[in-house]
Amino acid sequence: MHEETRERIMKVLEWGRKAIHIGFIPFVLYLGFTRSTPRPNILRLISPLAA
Amino acid sequence: MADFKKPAAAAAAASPVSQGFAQDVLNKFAAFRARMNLPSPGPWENLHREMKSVQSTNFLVEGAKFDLTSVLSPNFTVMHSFAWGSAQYPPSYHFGSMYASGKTMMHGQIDDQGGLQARAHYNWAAPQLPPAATEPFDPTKPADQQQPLPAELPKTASTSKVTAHMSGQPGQNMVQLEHDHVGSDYSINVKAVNPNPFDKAASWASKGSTTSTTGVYQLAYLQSVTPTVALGSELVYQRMLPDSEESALSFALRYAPAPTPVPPPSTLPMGMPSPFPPVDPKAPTQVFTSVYSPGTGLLHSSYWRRVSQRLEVCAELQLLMTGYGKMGPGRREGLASVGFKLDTINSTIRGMIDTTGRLSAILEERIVGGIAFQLSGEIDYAKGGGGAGRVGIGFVMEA
Repeated sequence: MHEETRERIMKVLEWGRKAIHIGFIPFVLYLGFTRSTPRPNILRLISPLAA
Repeated sequence: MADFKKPAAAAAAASPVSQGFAQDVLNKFAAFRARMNLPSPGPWENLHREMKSVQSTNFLVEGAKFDLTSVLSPNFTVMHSFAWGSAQYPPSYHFGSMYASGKTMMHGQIDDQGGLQARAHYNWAAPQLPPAATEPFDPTKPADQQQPLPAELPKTASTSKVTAHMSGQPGQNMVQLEHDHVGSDYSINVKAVNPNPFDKAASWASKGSTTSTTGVYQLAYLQSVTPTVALGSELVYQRMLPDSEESALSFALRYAPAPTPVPPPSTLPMGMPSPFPPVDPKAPTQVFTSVYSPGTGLLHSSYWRRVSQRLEVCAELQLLMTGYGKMGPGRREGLASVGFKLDTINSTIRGMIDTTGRLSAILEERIVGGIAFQLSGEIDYAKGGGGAGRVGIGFVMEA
């Protein structure tokens, strides 16, 4: 395998890693807010006391 | 496993001519296995689980801690966690969120430094209905009005897991791919940490090859051999850099005698309903686990026992024994500890002492519903000046 190809693969993997690093928590929150019944109030994200 | 083979055995009986001798032996073996009615040994990583839930060092708080958990819906939870006042670690804040539905589970946690811990599980086995939102155990009600024990969930599971730890700095990221299969009487676990099939070739590799596979790979297998004994083995292959290869083999033994009836708490007058959560009568009351890895010379044994409905005790022994070899003269070191966990109506107390003179205790007091207060202390008598101690308080709120 060429050194260049290896570097290219590493670059793509690094991009994927960054995408997961930034996107994972928002993705879980999105799933939680759209797919759970009953739909929770968005304010409860910050405080559990909001109804 | 035996369940899958039963139809095969029936088919074999229907057309005995077409089946060879080997098939016959296999079928007999499967039928024998089914007759033995062996329990599931549980996954490899749960080998010392009973002991870990008793030892107080796994629950210590240092400085102050404030956990706030919001259950937004039965399958969606958000968590805020603050910690400060520790001598070892700077103040920190963690935000966590978890989404679980049927077969999938996703959990993410991010701290104030930007470090992310992500976990995703997918269970391939038949969807297990999550235990329907049962009301929590209420000590004020008599026993016959309590919620019955949840129906026994199928013990078999086949779960794929991805775990990632990510921080901003390069070289501190970890990705782990794992598959966990728990059968009726055996369990298999396959793990790959930071697998990289495109790494540079090793210096000793032949001219033609330009890549090598690096990472840490683990394979573990546990099998119940009698209703009380399970044996297992784990192989770890490490290749962090193309030029360094290492492997290690461990062996495990788990002995869990048939459960004896757990006596009710003796402090209660006869006939009074027990205020403590019910105990599964089929769960073992004593477990002895031992894991030995000949390569490193490490022996890790533990013994756990449920003495009564409210008291559990455990003992742990870790021995390091290496012979005279390339690494210099042999070493013999040991560490033993004993601990207990006691439940009272509104609190849980854990205490532990080990042979280096480290004594620790934790009190967890449940104030109302989802609010709990923790008080934790640890003192190391072996340290100079009469010992070094650490205390901590924690406040946990769930709504």
